[in-house]
Amino acid sequence: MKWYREHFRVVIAGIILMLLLGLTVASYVSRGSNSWLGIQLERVSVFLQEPINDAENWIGVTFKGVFQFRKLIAENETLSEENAKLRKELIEQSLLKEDLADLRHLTEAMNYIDPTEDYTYVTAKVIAMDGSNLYRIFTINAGTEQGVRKDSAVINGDGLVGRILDVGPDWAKVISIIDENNDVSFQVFRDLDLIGILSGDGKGKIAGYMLDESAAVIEGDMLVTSGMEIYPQGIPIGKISKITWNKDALLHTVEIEPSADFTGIRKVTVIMTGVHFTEQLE
Amino acid sequence: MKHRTVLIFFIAAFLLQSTLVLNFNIAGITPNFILCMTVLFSFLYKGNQGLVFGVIFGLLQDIGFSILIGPSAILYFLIALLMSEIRHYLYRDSILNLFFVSIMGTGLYYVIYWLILMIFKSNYSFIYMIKGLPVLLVFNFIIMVAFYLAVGKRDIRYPRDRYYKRRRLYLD
Repeated sequence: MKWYREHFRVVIAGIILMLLLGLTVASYVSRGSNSWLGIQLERVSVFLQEPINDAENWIGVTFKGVFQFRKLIAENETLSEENAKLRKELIEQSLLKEDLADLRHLTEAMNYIDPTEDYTYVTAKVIAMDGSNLYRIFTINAGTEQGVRKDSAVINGDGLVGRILDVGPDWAKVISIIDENNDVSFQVFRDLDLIGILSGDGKGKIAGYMLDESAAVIEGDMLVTSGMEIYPQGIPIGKISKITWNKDALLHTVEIEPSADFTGIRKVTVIMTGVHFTEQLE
Repeated sequence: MKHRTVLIFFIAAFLLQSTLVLNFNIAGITPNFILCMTVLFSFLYKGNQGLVFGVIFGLLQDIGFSILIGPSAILYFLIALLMSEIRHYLYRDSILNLFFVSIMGTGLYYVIYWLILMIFKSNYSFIYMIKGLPVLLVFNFIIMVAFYLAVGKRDIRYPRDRYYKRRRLYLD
């Protein structure tokens, strides 16, 4: 007892350390789920983070406009050219519209249920991101009140971003695909019969392997989600940057450059299935 | 320093850390403000303010942006303990010493964090983590020097005062 009294600070430090270690182990066991207290704390921090993020964004955009006006002019010209090209493509696509309408009539006649029509989309703003630079986990300003559910797929204009890790009433935590340890199945866009499995490689990229040993993949092939798990089919994931033949596993391993730029994400879209949304409304 | 003043500094650090990366970053890297505040308040000031607020805001950081809840709090706790010990041996009015503690704090935080991630079956690459470390060290050092010049230097009236207590040198 005397020793404890003499080393009071050491004992207190030891107890705190043990408690924190216990908390870490407990959080590992229940990965990604927050307690009631955690959800309330997150709610308060989101309330404060949103206006600060808006203010920083305003400052950033203003400075960018002042110092990078030449770059913006060049960007504007590129976008104008791209716009013209897209208009031309739109005209070509509208010619196929009639064919598509005929096919839709046919699916209705056959009573075919298209799973893709069952999705609900919610667009949200990214308001906070991990600043310790270890993860690319970020917070968005949409939650259960908007119908967002855990494990919903998150995309942006470039492609697949990740999935919902945790959700509160008006916020949700998104874990990016590069932080993901869970396997995601993919298809090669050029040939949808080529299927593989990928996950984050711990280096800010994605790595995976092809299921078929004779899969004829090439560098630059675009990969899309296969729709076998939580992610709907056809979302761009990234391009193959390197292919190596693994002699031991007799498989092609691939390194993938993600389509989405995880450092500059401003807006995302959460894809929820109709089932999820109905459950939420109930 | 008053508790409420320290609290304001830590709240500002937390909010800046979580929002700055979206708007101002170099290759996705921004300063770790909470780490800087923990090191500064443990190294420059007496008491346990750096330690207590470091643990609280470390937990808040973990709740918001980590899969595991606890590693940041543990590391801020250990770094605060280390810094409050180091302050007995180093002058606090030297930028060079500030450079030393910023390197030590940042290096320890990221290396031990990597080790904790490895224990919990993460595949986070050590090389990838090390690559971003030089930029982080520079960022954190700049933040610490800016804080020292703006706030810390003013608060320490007699930085060269020293005395011995139980054969240990105290520079308070």
